[in-house]
Amino acid sequence: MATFFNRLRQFRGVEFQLLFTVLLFFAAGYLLVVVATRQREFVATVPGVLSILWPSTLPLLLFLGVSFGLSANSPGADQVLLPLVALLAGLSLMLTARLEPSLNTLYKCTADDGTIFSCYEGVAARQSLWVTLGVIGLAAMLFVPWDRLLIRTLRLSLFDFLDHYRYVWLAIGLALIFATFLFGVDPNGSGVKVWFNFGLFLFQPSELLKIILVIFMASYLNEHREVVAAGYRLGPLTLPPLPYLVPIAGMWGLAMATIVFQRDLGAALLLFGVFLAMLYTATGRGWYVLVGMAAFGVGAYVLYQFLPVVALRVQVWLDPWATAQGTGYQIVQAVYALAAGRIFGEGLGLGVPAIVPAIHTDFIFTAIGEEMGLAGTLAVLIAYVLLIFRGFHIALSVPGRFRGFEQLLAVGLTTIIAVQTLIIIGGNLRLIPLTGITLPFVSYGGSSVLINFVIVGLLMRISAGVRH
Amino acid sequence: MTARSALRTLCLAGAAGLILYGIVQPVASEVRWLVCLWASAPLLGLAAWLSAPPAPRGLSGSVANLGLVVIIGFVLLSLQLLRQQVIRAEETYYYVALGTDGSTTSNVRPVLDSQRVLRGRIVDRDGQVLVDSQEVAGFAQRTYPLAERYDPRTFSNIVGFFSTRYGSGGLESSYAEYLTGARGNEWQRLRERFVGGTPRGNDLTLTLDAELQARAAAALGARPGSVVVLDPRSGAVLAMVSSPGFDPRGLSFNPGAADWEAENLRISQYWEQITSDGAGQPLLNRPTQGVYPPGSTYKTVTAIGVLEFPDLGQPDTITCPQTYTPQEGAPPVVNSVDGLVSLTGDPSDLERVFAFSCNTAFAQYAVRLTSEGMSTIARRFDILPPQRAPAAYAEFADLPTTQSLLYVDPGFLNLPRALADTGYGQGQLLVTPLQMAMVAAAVANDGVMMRPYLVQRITRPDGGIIRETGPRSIRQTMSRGTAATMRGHMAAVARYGFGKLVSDFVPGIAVGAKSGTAEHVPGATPHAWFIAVAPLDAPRYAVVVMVESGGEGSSVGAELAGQVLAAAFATE
Repeated sequence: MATFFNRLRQFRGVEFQLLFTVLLFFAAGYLLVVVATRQREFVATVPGVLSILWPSTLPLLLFLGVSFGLSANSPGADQVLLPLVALLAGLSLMLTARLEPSLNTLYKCTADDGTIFSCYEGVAARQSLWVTLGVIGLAAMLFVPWDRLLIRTLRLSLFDFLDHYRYVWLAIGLALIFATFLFGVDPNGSGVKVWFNFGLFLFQPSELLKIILVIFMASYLNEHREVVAAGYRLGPLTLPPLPYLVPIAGMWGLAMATIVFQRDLGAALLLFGVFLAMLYTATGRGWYVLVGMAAFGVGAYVLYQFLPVVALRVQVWLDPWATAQGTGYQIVQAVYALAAGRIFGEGLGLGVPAIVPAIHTDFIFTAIGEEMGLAGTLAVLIAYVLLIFRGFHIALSVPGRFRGFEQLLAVGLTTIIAVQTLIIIGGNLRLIPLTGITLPFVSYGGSSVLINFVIVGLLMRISAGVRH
Repeated sequence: MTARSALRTLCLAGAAGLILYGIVQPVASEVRWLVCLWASAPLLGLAAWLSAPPAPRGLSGSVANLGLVVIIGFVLLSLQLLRQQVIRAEETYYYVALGTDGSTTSNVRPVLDSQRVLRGRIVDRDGQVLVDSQEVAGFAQRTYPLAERYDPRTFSNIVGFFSTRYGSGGLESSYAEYLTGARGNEWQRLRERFVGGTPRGNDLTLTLDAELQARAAAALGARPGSVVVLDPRSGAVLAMVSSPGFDPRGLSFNPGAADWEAENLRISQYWEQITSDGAGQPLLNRPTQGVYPPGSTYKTVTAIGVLEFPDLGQPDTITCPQTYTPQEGAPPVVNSVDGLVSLTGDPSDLERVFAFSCNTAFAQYAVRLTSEGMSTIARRFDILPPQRAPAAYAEFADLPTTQSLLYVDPGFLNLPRALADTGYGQGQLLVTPLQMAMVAAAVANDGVMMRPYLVQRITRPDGGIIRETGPRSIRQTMSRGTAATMRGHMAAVARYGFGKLVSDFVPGIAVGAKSGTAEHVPGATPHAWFIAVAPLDAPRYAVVVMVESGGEGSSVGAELAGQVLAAAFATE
């Protein structure tokens, strides 16, 4: 009896209520989408509604399962992260279901043998699969007794394990980068060779790389946090002490190499941005960041002079209308789509978002803008702000003196989501030059969805550890 | 602390100023907005940093600052969204970009929307359907039932055209908001948005008499020119012919066609055909957009001036010499017909010099009236000096209408020779046929010039009336007495003067008229003009005909005007 009441006290009520609301939001939105795009006949009976909703709500029901599991396993973990992620992932499922029929009618591909097929057949089903796998991955992060397993084998808890083998992670990260330089493929002709072809599926190593580098940097910067050396003199300049100077130079080189060899501006900007944020958090020295930004700016300017791809992106950013039928087409169509949305949008399924190329991946935010209007886009922005600040909140609730690694890791992981969101939405809205990266949780794409769920899993694990 | 809050206020004000200035910038200068937005970012950051309590040193302070940067980023995104989705949304939606290679890019959504709307019908005064819409394969198609009875080219200047590719013209363009239902039935639109159904636009009922329009066009034939028939009592446009016309079916997309590519090709070929150099500008509505020297028809206006200002004009003290020299050193004014004095008599009077269209007499009248008097009287008929003239004539808004001008070069009327030429309708006068029809109608309507109108009623698909247009006067252009005298003088033209040919077409009906033969290019065949009002005791019709390079107004013009008047009485 006592255990029962104990269990009841541990019940994560806030999380459950929020998740239930998200489930209702998703169910209503999904019904609307399916009916508006005429994929299914709407029958206004309970079995009729359930037959539309059943397989598609599975990922969201899994979220509820995770929530119940957490009530038993680690009731102290953060209760807001999971509903926010469920909201964004649900939005993603809703949007891919809405976009797929439009994509199918608009984009036809020709196979080697001459048959014509729809290029994006099955994106909605596959995205459901990715989200389901993502939730399972999240559950694995939370419910597998990693600490017990690792203590038994290596005498280290999970986070100590991540902290201890930092150079192994660095080596793996660098190996991934070089492997991409060598074996990267470009399956959809975007000019960026950043995928590995595993036959069954494509994997984007830069997604994994960002977690690995954040783990490494958290560990490295945590170890050198107390460095107060006078600095490193170079003529009249006083540069940061060596433990900070080396990673600044190293990350700068890595970012530039990514641009030069892979033409992947987005990943370079993301990695460098996250690095600077972590450097600042660890040292509290704003001018290190300024030095880093200046170095990046100089590098970017040099590349702008010599690399046509960089120059092109900047030109399209400043005046997409001049090349509206060519290189500026995508951004011009995105501008029209957003303008069509006005305040409340054209209505789910009633717009024509699919004429923007890459609408289900890089430009999914404009689809929200067109069909849900300013109300929808601001709501999504607010969801991201809440998610990011919850991440910072978790970082600050970690007692830093003893667990500085976890603290920096939480900041780094949160910053990944923040910087990635700002870069891609900024690019979509023509606030900065466009760089092709995904909108966390919402864009279509397996690697991106899985890695983002792992990030949230790590954050929740950190928050669960705080109150143990 | 006060310095701190002052700095904060300064930062906030600076950021707000930059944002307010930038966010309203037009789409074409988006870069200016981006510069403003980015410039406001550090100011916003500084203001927020100053208003936050001093952060504790160490990690929590750093994370707070990091959060501040993230928040600023999201604020910038929100401001950009506000601009793109609300403040500049309307402009962006219809923005047409011109690429460096000359190609144009526009939003595909308005076109898709227009293909879904069943645009309203256009019917004539008797309810005869001229233009209709039908749904074909889920798309709307514009159809032209008028083609079953008439040559569709004779209505093209009125109904215009509607093309998803080349836009629209005529009433389709000027009444687009009503025809698409964007205005007038907002409630129905809202309902359709939620429950579905094909949106249907509002119907236009015209003042036009389709039968008269067809007959007037037939009388004009293939000659380029205009015919306008007004009801002088109300200003209602009964007929308005512009030649050449085009077939609006040639630009109407048929969604039921098996091959859409071929259908688009057909339309683009027809478009190229009617816009080519040799086609004679069929897209121009000559009665309202063509401006010509009015020739002797303008003597009507000069005569009204002489009657309104009798002290200056002295109407009945006039001679008709063969030549008249208003300015030393300038070539004299010469009558186009030799020995006119034998017809007018010497000394003559206003009625006889008007009836026999004596140029030298009206040159003398104009010089007597001075440039001031001539401008005053022209202005009463909305024929304006160029200095204060708008580009479009606002009193007739149903179709695009050009403003008529008394002269072009500033100060032109200060030269006596120029003033004299203006008196008999040459000089630099540039008027639309509609404007001359309005002059005739004002004489017929006891001096009250009525506002011309073509659309008398706009009705919802359910029959409810959205807007009804009735007779509205513009102004009293002359006294009732002057109008009666002028009707008498115009009657003299049709009875024994240079317009008597017109009377042969309407036996038993008294007509008032004035012919005009307008020089436009030296040596070229002149434009033939003719204005007429009938029946004279209570005029129901005011007619203007104008044939480009048609010849003599007294023969070509009078014959055409007579045929039009006969058609008007026949179709009553």
